[in-house]
Amino acid sequence: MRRTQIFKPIWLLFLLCFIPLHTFSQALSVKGVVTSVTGEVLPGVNIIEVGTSNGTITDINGNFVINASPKAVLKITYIGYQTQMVNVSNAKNLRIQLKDDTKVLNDVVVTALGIKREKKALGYAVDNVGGESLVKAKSTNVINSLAGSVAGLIVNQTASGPSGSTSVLLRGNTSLAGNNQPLYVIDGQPMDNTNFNSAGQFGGYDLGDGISSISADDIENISILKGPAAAALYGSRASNGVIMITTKRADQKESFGVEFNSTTTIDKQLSKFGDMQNIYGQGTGGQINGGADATKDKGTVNTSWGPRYDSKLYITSFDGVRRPYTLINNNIADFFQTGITSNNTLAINTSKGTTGIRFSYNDMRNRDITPNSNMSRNSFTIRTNTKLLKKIDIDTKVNYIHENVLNRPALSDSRGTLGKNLMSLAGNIDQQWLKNNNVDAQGNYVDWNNNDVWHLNPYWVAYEKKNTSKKDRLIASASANYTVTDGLNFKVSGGTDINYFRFDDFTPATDPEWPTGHWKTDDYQNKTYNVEALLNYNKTWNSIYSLNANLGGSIFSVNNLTTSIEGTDMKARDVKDINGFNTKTVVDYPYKKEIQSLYATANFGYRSLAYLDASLRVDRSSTLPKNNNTYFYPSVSGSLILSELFKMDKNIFPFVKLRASYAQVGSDTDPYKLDMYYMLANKAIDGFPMGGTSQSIVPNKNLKPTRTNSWEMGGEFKFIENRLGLDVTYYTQSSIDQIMNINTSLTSGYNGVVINAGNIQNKGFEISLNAVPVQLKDFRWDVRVNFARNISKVNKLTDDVTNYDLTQARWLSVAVSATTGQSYGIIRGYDFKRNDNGDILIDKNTGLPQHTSALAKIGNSQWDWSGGLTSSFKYKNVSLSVLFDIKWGADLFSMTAGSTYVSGKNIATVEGRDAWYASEEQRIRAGVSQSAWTPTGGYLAKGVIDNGDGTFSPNARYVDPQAYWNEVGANVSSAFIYDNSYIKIREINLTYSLPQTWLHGFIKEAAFSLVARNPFILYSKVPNIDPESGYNTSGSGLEYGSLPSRRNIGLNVSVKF
Amino acid sequence: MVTLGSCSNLNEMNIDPSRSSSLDPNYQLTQIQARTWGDWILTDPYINFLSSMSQIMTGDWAASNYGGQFRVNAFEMDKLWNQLYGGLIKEAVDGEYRSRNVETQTNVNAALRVYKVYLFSIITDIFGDVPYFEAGKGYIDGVKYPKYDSQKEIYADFFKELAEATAQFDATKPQMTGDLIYNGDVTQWKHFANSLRLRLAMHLIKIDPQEAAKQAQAAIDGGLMASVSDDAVIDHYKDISSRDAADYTRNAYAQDLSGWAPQPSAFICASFFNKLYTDNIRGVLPSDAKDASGNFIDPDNGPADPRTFVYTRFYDTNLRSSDNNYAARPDITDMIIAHRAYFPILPGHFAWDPWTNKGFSGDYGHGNFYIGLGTVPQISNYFMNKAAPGVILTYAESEFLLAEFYKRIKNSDTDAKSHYDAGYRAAIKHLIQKFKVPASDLPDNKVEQYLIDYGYKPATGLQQICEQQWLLHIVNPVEAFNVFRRTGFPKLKSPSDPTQLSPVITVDAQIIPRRLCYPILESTDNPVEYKKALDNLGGTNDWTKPVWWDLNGNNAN
Repeated sequence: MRRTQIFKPIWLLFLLCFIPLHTFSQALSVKGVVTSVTGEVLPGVNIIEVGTSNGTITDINGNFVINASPKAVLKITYIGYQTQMVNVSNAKNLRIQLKDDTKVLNDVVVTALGIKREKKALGYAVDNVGGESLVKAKSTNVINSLAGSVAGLIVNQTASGPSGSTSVLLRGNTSLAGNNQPLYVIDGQPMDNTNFNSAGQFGGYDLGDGISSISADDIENISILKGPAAAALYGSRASNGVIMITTKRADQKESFGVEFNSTTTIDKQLSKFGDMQNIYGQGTGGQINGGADATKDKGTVNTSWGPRYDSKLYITSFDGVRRPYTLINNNIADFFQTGITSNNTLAINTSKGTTGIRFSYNDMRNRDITPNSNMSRNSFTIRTNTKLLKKIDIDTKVNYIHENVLNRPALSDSRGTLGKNLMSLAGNIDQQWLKNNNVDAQGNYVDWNNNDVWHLNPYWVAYEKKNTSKKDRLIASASANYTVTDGLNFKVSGGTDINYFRFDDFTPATDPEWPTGHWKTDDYQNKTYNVEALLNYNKTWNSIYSLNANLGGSIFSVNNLTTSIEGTDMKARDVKDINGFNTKTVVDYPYKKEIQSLYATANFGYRSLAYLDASLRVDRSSTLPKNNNTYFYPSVSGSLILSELFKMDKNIFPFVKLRASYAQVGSDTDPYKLDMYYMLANKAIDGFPMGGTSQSIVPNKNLKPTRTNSWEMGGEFKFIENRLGLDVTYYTQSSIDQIMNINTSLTSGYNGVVINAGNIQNKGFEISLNAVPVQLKDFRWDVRVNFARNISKVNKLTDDVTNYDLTQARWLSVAVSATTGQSYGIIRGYDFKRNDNGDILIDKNTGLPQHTSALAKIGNSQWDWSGGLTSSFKYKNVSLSVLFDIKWGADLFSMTAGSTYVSGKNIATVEGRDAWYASEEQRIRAGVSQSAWTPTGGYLAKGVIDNGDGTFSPNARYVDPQAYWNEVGANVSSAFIYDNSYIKIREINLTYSLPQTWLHGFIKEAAFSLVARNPFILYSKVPNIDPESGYNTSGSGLEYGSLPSRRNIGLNVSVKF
Repeated sequence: MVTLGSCSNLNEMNIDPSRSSSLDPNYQLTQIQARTWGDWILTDPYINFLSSMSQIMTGDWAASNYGGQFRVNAFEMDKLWNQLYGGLIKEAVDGEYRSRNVETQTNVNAALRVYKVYLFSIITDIFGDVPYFEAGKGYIDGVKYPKYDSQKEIYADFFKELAEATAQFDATKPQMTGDLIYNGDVTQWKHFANSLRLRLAMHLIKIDPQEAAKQAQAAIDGGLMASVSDDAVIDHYKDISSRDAADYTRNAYAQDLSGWAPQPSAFICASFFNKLYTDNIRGVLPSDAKDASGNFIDPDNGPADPRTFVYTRFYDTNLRSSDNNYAARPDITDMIIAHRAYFPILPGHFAWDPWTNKGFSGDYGHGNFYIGLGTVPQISNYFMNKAAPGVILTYAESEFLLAEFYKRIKNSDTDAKSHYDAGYRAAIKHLIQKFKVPASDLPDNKVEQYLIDYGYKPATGLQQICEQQWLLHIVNPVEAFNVFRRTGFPKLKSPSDPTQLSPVITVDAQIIPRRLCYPILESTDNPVEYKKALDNLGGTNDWTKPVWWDLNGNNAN
């Protein structure tokens, strides 16, 4: 099209042609002048002799002099202009004209349906992340690498470790029920991003998500379509935005090439349990038994309400050893080991004529920081593309992934949650003692704390309990594009994502939770299919008017079957398999749906200054009732290139564009929500079958599709010869008729009813700024900054309902809710009861604080704003880049913090202990009952006592600090709300590229990098844990029993042959 | 374009192939019966609140922390409501609705009607005014926010339902297949329905004596339970442990009592132990027969009730089995009896409170051990056995209720005594037949001697009848709590009452609560009706406010 080159890697072709040349000829003094096409002289242009570190820069008049070999190739680079290669060929005077960098101005991006379009023609925001930025400091889940790098893309890891899933959010939460994650599309085919399972308030495991198994080295490019307008063509599945991944194909310019990329990192504990007191050890009421009998002190190993540490005191541990009652430094931290992650990719590229094949193999291995847990992933990809009969382009891809995980961490309030089991361990107990004594000679669990089911021996969890996951996944796609005539194409494509996943969770007999053992297998067989046909017409008239029209249709279907197998009553103790269990139950959970779609789009262009797009899609979904299952989505967008329209001065405003769009998308729901079902129970009782209703949500035969309406406006500006670029977007979107489970009174027999209701609005803006503040001969500094603010508001639920709990916490009745008139995701809970003055009211009988009895807002789970900053420096062959990620303004309800108070480990629990114990001694000596005694010392709760006549007097009744913190820990949710804002360094890469002079023809490129992922938390207000410690991807704002997060530091080697 | 027409039928695709659209209501009857005592979430509040507020159990963390020291905890309290409305009542209403007027399901429908009354009686007796007429109908009638009905109206409907259901049982119609209680015997069902009617009638003895008399008489005329074999118990549980919320195949209350450790800590409250032994026993040490205050009296003639050391036993807290088996705990009762070293935990105390725990050193064949918590009576292994029956209503209770009826309404001490004696003998047989207590541990001569020594006396008869009901309900805390509230017997004092031997501080109430709080979720999920219910209660969700029939309020008579 027009004067621009769509094919951006074309300069690479030049480069590749000349690289192998290498000479030692006599140097020649070469002079030259560099101008733009229009004749302006260009100062500060970089000139480098290819393959050497030899270079110079143009002066104010565009002139330069360089000593170079007569056969040298000069690489001319200048911001805003295309890089050019110039053969010296013995010439002494060079006149070099640089063309406008159309790559910058006319970036080609992949849009919906895989259609490549010039970015400037788009009426909506699209962000691009090149694959090269993902492959150095690799994460085990590639999507984590995007954290902080795209405005408005919120990437939040969970506390589930390397094998876990990641929460991704674009432009806020649109949905009250279910999924707010974007749709992933790989090479035009929707990917199954099922998070097979995640932890809830009572515990569970995060079984990972679909995107985690994609190898970063296979990714050419990631396009982020944020708003519905960009995504409208993906219909139902795209209302939360689309992340489009284009994978690498054979490089047609090279007949044969090999790439090797290897990253190995050492993984260490990042967040640490801080905030702990080191004065009092295990015990309760200020006492230990301290006798020779270990059983007497077993009950208090997770409570630090004992006496002061004292080397003259002795306590008998559960293992029968009598040890001094003293503080052991770092008694928990040594549980964690040094982990290691290695990620290696080998890719082979071969092409002949019009046929190319790319093969890649990726091997990822991780040993986590918790003992005996590891994962490995192998991924094989073969991509071939060829041309048949000069008119048909065939592109096929097969990607097979095999993944093993040993011992995913149990999360939240699972019995086996390691963080929870460790964090309250009293300071006089070394976790190491538990290691050598977790089983006896018969392999039985050794009781160490009166068999407290909530605090299992962490080494038992790590070595005797066992969970394994195996994933076999096949992602395959094929497309054929038939060029009917010039401008008319017909494309047929199909793809499948077949995901077999099996999770086995074994608990041996004698476990306190499952004394007779327990086995659970969840076997997932998930299959998605997608078939599409697309007719594309392209025409330009007189280089003035252009039209790009598409007509297409698709069928998307999902056919999942989950089989859940449970074994109880372990009889064959040596058989660590379902076969060792006496009782087995099997339940099937099918999930089938299909969406049939037709769509049409038309894009009009006028010169290269005005564009108008329109699209219409119609979907028919199997999950909706027959009369409501067909729905349309329209979208309109346009853009205007003001710099062209008003012929602006290219030196000041090289590029100015305004854009606007409107779209409506709909979405369906999960299957089987329309009818009532009954089910037999898993177990019969004494031969009698049991059964009943199988749903807690009332079905609805009249569901309609959900609608999201969105508006978006924005502008793109480039200044100062393209060294400064700014992109601003304002959007507003409202989701109505949401298919959601609205709470009903449980007295109806049901938790809720599925209805269409609700109106949630999100509005906000996104700003991206790119700048090159410094550009010298050998040095260049690049800065990219992004910022996004999203403001959500729950406008309405239903006429009857003003609150909807999105998720609930395990303790203190805390819930994360959508409440009418509030922002989405407020945290509700109990607070101290206060008088009008704001003073906490203290109960005069107990001396303990009073608390509110109605749930009210105590925090907010969603970020006010998020941002990122990437700063990269390049000096000759050395480059350094640092990525900062900032999330601001959300709160976290930390149940971990709560339990540090209740267990007496927190530093704040020290106050008043000695005085209270002295008071109790006096009371007992006096033989007075508790209620008749006025304590002489202890903890004095801050607050006032209501005198009953409108006046208040300061609280003067001392209480047992243990009683105080038990009371607060059981009833005052607001005490454990923390500001969850954080600033993290996500990534640091220090790269040294070997100069071409060092390489010989065999090696084409080689680079070594020191890499770091999540090396530092620069700012956080949450004690003990990483602020990114949610236990699942759907509800933020809640945390419990989180394991420490990890810091990865290592080395990356990348070589091209 | 693409072959849209040739696709599979989209509507058929949306029918779940793994589930049923019409399940036999018999399976629902089985499920709700099994869940009555097999659902651990449902039974949790029994130990956490009802049993400790009734001063049957105390001392372990759950019992003392919540019901012992009167701490409101919504999470624990709401379980009862949530499991009944969201589970058992839901299934009862659904199954009853679907079997209504179905010729072949006449009997299962009648059984579901009776059982539904039983389930709703738990809810209304614990909470007061509750959703009844519209409850459980979220799907059937689309009622999202059921209205709260007055307990008076609910009781009126109970009697109507029980009368109709009793008449509906028909031995000539197909037998129900899912009955865990009587295996489908409709005659026994009629006896159960009538005894239930008698129980509910007696609940109203204070608030509406006429109606109570009328309904009791109708129940008597209809035919009450006649022997221990008529006992309504769920006796199909297995002795297994499971924390699976959907596993109803073991007695979950027994599991709550036996706990998860090899060392259960299900301590019997001093109030209960002393009533069995005789009054006023706090604790006796071999070397310390009476303390300075004079409150410790050595019961030279104890134990009074032959059930004392069947209900309660003393277990060593030092030695424990390696296989988490509560039954393997060394039983040191004989040694404790020999030493007269009983230290039941006073109401509201924790067993490990240093000032409540007394011990001594003794040898029961494993060397000389310090016996600490071993001196605290615990509920015996019979009730920790997870295959133990779950008690709904027994012949013994029916007889005690009859005794109360004759005493209060007919003013006949002769009839009252004969039913009292029959009730007591039935209570003993109930333990032998249903809880597998060896008959030799409860010999007839001791039982008869008890009826002579501590037998019914006209002057104290009413108190004796009521206290016998309380003692009978050792593992039926709902009815124990009902008996205490409606009769004022036994005369329990709040743990914080200054006249207690060793008062403890109680937190969210100073008097013994009279109900449980409505779930906090009702305030957001059913706000209009919830507010009306609170208004009827005086404006706050106050657990010291009595339910309609509880005229005693806080003033024990």
